Amino acid sequence: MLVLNFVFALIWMALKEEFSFIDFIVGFGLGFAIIALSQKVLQDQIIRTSQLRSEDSYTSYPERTMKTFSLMVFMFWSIIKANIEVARLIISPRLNIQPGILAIPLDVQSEIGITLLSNLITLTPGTVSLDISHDRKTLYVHFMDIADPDAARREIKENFERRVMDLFP
Amino acid sequence: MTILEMLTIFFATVGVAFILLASFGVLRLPDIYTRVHAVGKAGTLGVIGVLFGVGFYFGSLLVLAKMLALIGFFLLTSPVAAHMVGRAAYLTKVKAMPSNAPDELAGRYDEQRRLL
Repeated sequence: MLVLNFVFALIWMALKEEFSFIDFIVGFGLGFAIIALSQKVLQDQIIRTSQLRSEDSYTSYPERTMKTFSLMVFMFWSIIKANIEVARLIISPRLNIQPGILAIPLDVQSEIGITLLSNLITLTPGTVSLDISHDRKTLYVHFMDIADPDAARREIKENFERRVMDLFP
Repeated sequence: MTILEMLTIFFATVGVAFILLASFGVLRLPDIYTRVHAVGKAGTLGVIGVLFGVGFYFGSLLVLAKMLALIGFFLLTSPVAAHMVGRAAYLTKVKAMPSNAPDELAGRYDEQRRLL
């Protein structure tokens, strides 16, 4: 966490474009406050994620990097696709949609993985994640237009969850 | 016209167009849940476009890096906002438009503690 604090101070200085001692102190102080406030959440998450990862089979660093990169490319591509789809829907003269909420069973267990998955779902075509059950096993997702509930569920699981699972179990 | 100017105009135009679309969406869509879709998605790409426009306008790598950082923060926070608005609406029982599709969240909330 001290390392994180130094990283925050450096980011602060980089964004201010001033590498003076005063700025280092200010950045360090702000970072300290942020970490102090979020300590409980941070700790739980780091411990849980590392536990989950050690059980999982070992993936090499280059492989992980490749997967992270491909996830980012996939994410940007789906954001653009989502926007065009929503834009088309908004412009179309007759609104013909069947919105509804589906429960998606989750296989991802780490908090980071769940956060990433739900953010990804919100940013992609026709879906907004609404809430997660208390035991972190079911995600409730609002769909803009459901033609076939099972197909919609399968698409989320196969397209998004598999990719996120690769990185964060 | 330099390439930088062209890039600025392109990204700013795309961004503003998507923000306009998002506001049309808020007007046209029937209920709060579908409106969250319009703002959460079209709004996001709109802001990303405008920020890229700003980055290219100043033409320095440092400004562009700052804009990239801003985009990263925006991608982290805007889905959370959309999710909280939707959840708050559901908890306060805002009515959704009539639909044939299922609502599998119905009756799952613990009313007192507001937990799932």
